[in-house]
Amino acid sequence: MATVNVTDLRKVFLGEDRDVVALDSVSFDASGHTFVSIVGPSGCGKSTLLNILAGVETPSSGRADITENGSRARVGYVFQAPRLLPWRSVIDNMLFVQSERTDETAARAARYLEMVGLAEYHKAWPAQLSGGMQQRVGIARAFSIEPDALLMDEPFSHLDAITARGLRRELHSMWMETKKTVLFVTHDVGEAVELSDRIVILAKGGKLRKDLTLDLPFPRDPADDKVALTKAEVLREFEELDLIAT
Amino acid sequence: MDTTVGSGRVARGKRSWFQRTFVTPQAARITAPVLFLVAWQLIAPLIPSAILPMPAEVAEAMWEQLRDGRLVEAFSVSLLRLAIGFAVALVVGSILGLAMGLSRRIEAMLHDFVVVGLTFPYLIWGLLVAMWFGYGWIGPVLVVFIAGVPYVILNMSEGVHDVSKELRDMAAAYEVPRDRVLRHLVVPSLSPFFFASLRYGLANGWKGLILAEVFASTSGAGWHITSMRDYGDFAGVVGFAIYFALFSIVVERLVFGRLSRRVFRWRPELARGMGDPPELLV
Repeated sequence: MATVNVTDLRKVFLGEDRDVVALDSVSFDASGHTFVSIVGPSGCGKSTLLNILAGVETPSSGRADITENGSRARVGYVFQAPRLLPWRSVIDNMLFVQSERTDETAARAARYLEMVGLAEYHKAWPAQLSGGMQQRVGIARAFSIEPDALLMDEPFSHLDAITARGLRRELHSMWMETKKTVLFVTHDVGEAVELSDRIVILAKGGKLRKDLTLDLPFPRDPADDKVALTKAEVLREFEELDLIAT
Repeated sequence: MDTTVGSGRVARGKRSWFQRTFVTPQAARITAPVLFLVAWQLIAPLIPSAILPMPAEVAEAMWEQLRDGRLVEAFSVSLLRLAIGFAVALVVGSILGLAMGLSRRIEAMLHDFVVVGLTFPYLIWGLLVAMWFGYGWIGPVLVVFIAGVPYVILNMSEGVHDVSKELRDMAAAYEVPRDRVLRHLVVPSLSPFFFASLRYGLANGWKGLILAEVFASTSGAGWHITSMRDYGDFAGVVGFAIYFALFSIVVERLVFGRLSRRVFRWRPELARGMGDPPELLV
């Protein structure tokens, strides 16, 4: 079971004119089969938080890590853009991130590609796929390493509404099936309400302002009254926190 | 719908004789050199043949050069010099270019040398190597190196800057081993730049070489064309010049064109035409 631990995390980017505080004393924990959305206005350090957890960036102070039974967890990362190697086929892109190349990992990659409905495209170049299909490859890639935890950085924000909706459903069923710990960054409150059992609200200046638990049964239809009501409640929290730009 | 499709077809069928001969790209490739020859044939009689020989005279000279082996001998000497000089330029230039791309200090050190290298006239190098090494192989080979290496350095250092940070971060987040990152991310990312190095480095190495052979050699294509001029064989000079042109076209079409289609088959504009995606892409 993966455990996410963020303690007193601070990240400052040193600029030429002035330093920018991306994250300021952020603390929270998450573990097991949970889907935590991190929501906030742009520039509140959401992506930075994921990058630090993924080990791509280092914290200025404090700590942030994901562990599995005390040792560093294996983490899958889905980015805003698909970030596929354009000169490698779809299946080779998935093999690129496997810890080792065996028949087993190859079969696993093929299985997850099938799960996102792209099995027949395994030999295609990324440029031959639509944006939504490329993003699905990115999601399959993240699942195919059988990670202990998943980091997702606004994975659907570049897609059209219909494609995004289909992928959200796919993601939800994959999360139910694999029981991963998911940290999901988004600026879309509706999306957060539809997918998560917990919503963490970050404000400008990288401060954690609210940690909400969502007690609603899955699957959640955005058109459902209760879901719509919850979305309204979360938005009210935003109002109260004075996070909505006027 | 039907009307639109139909009218499109009619429009294509209506293409005039003129359009078919001159406008389509395939036709234009053939038409342009033919027009050039026709113009030459028409203008040549108006000008003294010591200045502009007739196409037939030139063709005869070209046939002679091919038959008596002068062409093959001159080009094989020059091509060997080009190969040696440019092989060294490719190795040295790649190392310096990568170092320049990775380190700001090295970039600061080399930048001005590269700029001078790109713009320095080959004529001066040709004269200098003739003074230093006299007639022989060292001078021309050295000029190939000097003319080619700045293009290799420049392209490779740009290539390093062009390796996507997004993809590197992706590889880091997935803890992809270093050798795999190098092989599947860095090298493919650099390959267009390596390719540009090859193309421009070789082209400029070749230009530098021919000039160096005029001053510092008693063999090779550059020397050969000078000696024909010294004997007043103007048809021979023009014919040999045409061989130079044909050589460039053959190398571009057969070597670089094919190589780049193969190396860059993943690119969107090419990838769409490759393979058979199982169904229509949405």
